[in-house]
Amino acid sequence: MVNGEVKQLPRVFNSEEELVEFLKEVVNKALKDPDYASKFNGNDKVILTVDLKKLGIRKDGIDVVEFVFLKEKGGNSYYLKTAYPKAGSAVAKYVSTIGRWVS
Amino acid sequence: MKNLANSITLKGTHIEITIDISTFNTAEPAFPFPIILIVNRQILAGTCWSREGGKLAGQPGDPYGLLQELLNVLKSVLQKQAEYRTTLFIYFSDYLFKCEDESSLLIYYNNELLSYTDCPEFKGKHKGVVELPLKEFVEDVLKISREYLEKYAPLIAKIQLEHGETPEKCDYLWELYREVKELYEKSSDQIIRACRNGKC
Repeated sequence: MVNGEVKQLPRVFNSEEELVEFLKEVVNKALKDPDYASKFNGNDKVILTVDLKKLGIRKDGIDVVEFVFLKEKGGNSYYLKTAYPKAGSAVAKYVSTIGRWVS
Repeated sequence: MKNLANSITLKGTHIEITIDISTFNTAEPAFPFPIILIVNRQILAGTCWSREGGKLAGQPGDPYGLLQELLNVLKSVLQKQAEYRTTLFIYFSDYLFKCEDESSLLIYYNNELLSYTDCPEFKGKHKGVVELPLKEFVEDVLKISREYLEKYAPLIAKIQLEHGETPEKCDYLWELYREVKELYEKSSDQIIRACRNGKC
């Protein structure tokens, strides 16, 4: 239940651990792919729009995951700010500004 | 367009960016400011909901990331790379920048959020392609970036601080701006020299 609206969310992961493992696997594989790794070119902010098929990862209901990385202040390493699924049959999209599910 | 009393507008010949600073959206941590991006009257970022007044409004975005990516597009174009794909730090969106030839640039856009609009005049306008003169695009982005860095970055930083967020340091963005400007000046020199040699 979100803002008075009931929505049955599709269940893709059975536990938080499973989700973390999945995200780790995607990031680790993406970093081995030059197309994604090359995005870390010194920019202060990096968005990776990762196509799971391209990495040979299969997850029912999710096709694309996006990761936002920020550069550590005064350093050269990056940390993960946020990650979310972007496309796929089980991806539900909620627009917080209007408080509504759009898909 | 929504009447934004509290907004920042960055305007070039073709590009117009409106950053709504009246709200700081904490629900999407990486995209706190609603942003409208219009290029040649086409809506590359922005959306419309009838319950919000039925007017074009911003969609979650990050101004710093947007300018960083626009400068990266220039860098890629000036270094003659074939294409540049980015989200421009606009939530739900995808863009592909591609040089048609030496003088024109194509932007393929998919502004997914607008595809869910319930405002009839914006239905079906979420996807498309814009073509514009490369030189004018480069000059627009340089002008807008400089204006943002000089005039508005401190204002954005102030809002971020008020919400307990650490503001970006703009040194890197300045560095990127100077690098791209230099690349552009060099490439226009080459064009001028080629013309003097009768090669244009």
